[in-house]
Amino acid sequence: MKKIILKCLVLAVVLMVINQCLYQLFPSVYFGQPDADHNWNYLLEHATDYNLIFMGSSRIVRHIDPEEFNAACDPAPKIRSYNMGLGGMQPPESYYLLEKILQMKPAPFRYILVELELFQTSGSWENIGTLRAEHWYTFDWYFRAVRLVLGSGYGSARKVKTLTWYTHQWFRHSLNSGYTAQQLRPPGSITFASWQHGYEARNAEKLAAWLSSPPPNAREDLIAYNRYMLETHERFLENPERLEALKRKSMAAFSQPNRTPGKSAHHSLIRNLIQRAKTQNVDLIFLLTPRSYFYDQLLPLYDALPAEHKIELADANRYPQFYAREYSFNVGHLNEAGAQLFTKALARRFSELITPDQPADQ
Amino acid sequence: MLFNTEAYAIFFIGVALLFFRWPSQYRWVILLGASYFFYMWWEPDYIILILLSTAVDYYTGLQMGRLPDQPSRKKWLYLSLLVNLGLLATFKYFNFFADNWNSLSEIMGMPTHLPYSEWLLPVGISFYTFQTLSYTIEVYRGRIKPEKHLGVFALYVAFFPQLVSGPIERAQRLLPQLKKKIGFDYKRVKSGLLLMAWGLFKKAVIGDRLAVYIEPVFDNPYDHQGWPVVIAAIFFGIRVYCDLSGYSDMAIGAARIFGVDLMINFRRPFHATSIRDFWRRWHISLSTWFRDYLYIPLGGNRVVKWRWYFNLVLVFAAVGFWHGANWTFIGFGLIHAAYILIGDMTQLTRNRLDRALGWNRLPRINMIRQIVITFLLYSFSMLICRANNITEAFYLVGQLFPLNLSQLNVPMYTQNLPDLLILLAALLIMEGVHILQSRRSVYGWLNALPFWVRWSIYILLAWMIFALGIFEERAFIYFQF
Repeated sequence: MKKIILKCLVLAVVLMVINQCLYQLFPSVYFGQPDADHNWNYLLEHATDYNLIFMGSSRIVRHIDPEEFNAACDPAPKIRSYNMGLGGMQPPESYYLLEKILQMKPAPFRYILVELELFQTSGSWENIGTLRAEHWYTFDWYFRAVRLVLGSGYGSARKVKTLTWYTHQWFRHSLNSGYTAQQLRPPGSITFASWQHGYEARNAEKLAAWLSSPPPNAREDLIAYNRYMLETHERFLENPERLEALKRKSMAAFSQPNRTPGKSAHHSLIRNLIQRAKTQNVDLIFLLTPRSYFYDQLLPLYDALPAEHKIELADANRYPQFYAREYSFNVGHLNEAGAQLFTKALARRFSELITPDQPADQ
Repeated sequence: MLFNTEAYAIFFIGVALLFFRWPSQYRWVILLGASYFFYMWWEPDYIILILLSTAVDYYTGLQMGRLPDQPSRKKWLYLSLLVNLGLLATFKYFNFFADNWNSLSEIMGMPTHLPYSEWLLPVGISFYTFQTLSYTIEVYRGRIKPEKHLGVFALYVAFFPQLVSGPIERAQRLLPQLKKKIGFDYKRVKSGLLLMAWGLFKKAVIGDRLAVYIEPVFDNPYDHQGWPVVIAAIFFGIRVYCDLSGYSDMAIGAARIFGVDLMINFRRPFHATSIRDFWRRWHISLSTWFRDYLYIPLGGNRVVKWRWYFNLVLVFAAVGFWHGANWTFIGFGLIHAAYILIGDMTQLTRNRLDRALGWNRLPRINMIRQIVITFLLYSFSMLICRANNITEAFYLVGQLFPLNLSQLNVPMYTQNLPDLLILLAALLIMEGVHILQSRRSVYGWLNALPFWVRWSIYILLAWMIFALGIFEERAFIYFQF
C-alpha cells in the first residue's frame, strides 16, 4: 500500500510543479467571476487614466464613488480615482493583488487606498463555487499567509480553522481544479456591472427594478446574488436593531481607554508593503471603514500604523452618520446616499493627509 | 455524492484506507457503512427505500430457499416484484401515469384530476431495484442459494461504487465476491485507479464540455433547424456515452480496488456495425438484464415470427421506459425495436444490394460504412431521447432536413476555440484508446511501455483531468434513470 500511496504523492507533486510553472509563465490574475475580471482588466488597460485606486471589500466598492471623490478632493493635486473593490476581498487576496499592482513598471498610481481588514478565514457567500476563493494561492502567498496566521493573535481553534481553509484552497489551486479550463473560456456576460470607474452603489429601488426584469443575458449567479442582497435589505428593515448593536460595538471599541498598538505578523507585512510602495513613489494608505464587526481586533493593527498611512472613518462616536438607518442598505453596507456622504468625508480626510507639495500626476 | 467531486475523492480515499486496515472478515462492515453514508449524502430519508428493498428481498429469498420448487416459491417472488416494482412505480412513474390519466380523461370528456406526487426521484432507484430483483428471480429459479448473511446481502444491494448508476450486477457474480477475503494487491489497485482516472477523463474532459453545444438547441428547439439539430443529436449521443461509460469505468475501477470485479458495461459501442451489435456493446448490464428476465421468459426468438416481433417491441419499450418516465424514452426504445425489425425484414435485400454494389469486396470500407450508419441511427434515437417532450421530439425530427450550411451558427462553435480544440483532442485520445482496446489490453500495453513514457502518459492524463476538466456540480445524466 505504501508503494501506491507514494506514487500517488509523486504524481500530485509533479502536477503541482507543472501548474506552478504554468502560473509563472502566464501570471495573469483570473478571478473566475466576470464582473471581477472585467474590473481588473479594465483597470490594467486604463491604468494611465488613474492616479489613485481603492482596494478592499464590498465596503469599498459600495461606499466610494470615484467621480464624487475626485470632485470633493482639493483641486490640487488633481485626483483621478478608480474603485478596485470587490465583494468579499480581504487579505491575503487584497495584498496579493496589491503586490501585482506594485509590480507594474512604471507604477501608474500615485496613491493606493486599501481597506484595513482581518485575514480571510473562510469563503464568503458570493465566492462559493467560483475560482475566486483560490486564485491567489501561489506557493509564495500560501506560505506567507500561513506565516501570517501563525504569527497572529488568533486563538488555536481559529488558527487551525484558517490554516485548514488556506491549505485546502492552496491544494485545489496547486492541482489546478479546472482553473485552466475556466480561464480558457470566454468571460461571461456582465450585466450589473461596475461602469462608474469600478463603483457600484447599493440602491434598493434600483435593485428591485433590475430583479423584476433582469436583462436577457443576466447570469443566473448574479440574479441569485442580487436577490440575496435585496433580502438582506428587507431583513434589515424588519430588524434594524442589529445596526444599533454594530454601532454600540464600534463606540465601545473606539472608546477603550488603553488602546495599545499591536505588532503582529500582519503588521510587519503591512509595513513591508508600505516600504515597497514607497520605493516606487506610491503612497499606500490603509483605510478603516465603518460597519466592521471586528474593530476590537483591527484597532491594535490600525494604531500601530504610521499616521501618514492611515485614515479612519469607522468610529461611531465621531461619525454617527455612517451608522444611521437612513443611510443604510443593510447592516453591513451604506446605501447610495450614505455612500455619497462617506465618499465626501473620505475625500476631505484624504486631502488633509496628503501634503500640497506632493504632485499627484506622474 | 457525485463521482467527479472533491467530496467523493476524500470519501473514497478514507474508505479505501480504512478498508485495508480493517480485519478482512469484517471489511463488509466498512463497505456497507460507506455505501449507506454515500447514499445518505444525497437525501438521508431515502435510505429507507434501500433498507425496505433489502429487508423484503432478504426475507423472500430465505423463504424461497426453504421451498422445493418454483410453483411453491411463486408467491414470495410476487411479493418481491410487488414491493420493488411498487417502489419504482410510486417514486419514478407515478407522475407520468397521473399526467397521462389526466390528459386522457380530459380528451374523453370526463376530466379527472389525479394529484401529482412531490416526492423527489430517489437517485439510482432503477439500478438497485433491478439488481435486487435479479437476486430474487435467480433464487426463485433455483440457480443460486439464498444469502443467509444479512450484512453481505445488504452490501449486495447497496455497494456504493455501482449503487446509483450501475453496472447492474447479478447475485451469482457479486455475492461470492463480497464474501471473499481480499488482501492488498498492488496491480489490482493500480489498474482500478487507472480505470477511475480514465472514466473521469471521459466524464469531465469530454462529456461535460459537450454540454455547451447541446443545451442551446434542446433548451430552445423552435429556434433551430438542420445542421445545429444534427450536431446537437450527435454530440448528445457522445455525451451520454462519455457520461455513462465514464461513470461505469469509475465504478468498476473503484470496486476493483476493493477486490470486486464488476461486469463490463460498455464495449466500444461506437464501433458497432449494426443496431443489434450496438446492443451487445451498449449498457451491457441493462440489456442482458432485460434479455434474461423479460425477453427470454417471453419466448425470445424461439416463437412464431409475429410473436418475436411483439417480444422485441415490448422489451425495447420497457428498456426505454426504464430510462425515464417520459414518452420520449419510450420513443427511444421503440425506435431501436424498429431498427432491429426493419433490419431483420430487409436483411436479404440489403445483402443482395451490397453484393450488387460491390461492398462485399471492400470489407474494411464496408465495415466503416456500417459503423457510420449505426452511429447515425443511434444519434437519431438520441434526438428523441433528449427532447423535453414528445411534441418537441417530433418537431426536432421535422427540422432535421433540409441541411444547409447557412443554418450553422458558427460563433456558437467557435466563440470558445480553445475549448473546441481541447474537445477534439480529447475525442481523438478516446478513439485512439478504443482502437487500442479492440486489439489488446490497454493496461498491458501501458505496462509494456518504458517507465518515462508510461509516467508521461499518467501525468498528461491526470493534468488533463484536473486542469481541463469541467468541475461544476453537473450531475451524471444517468442518475435520473
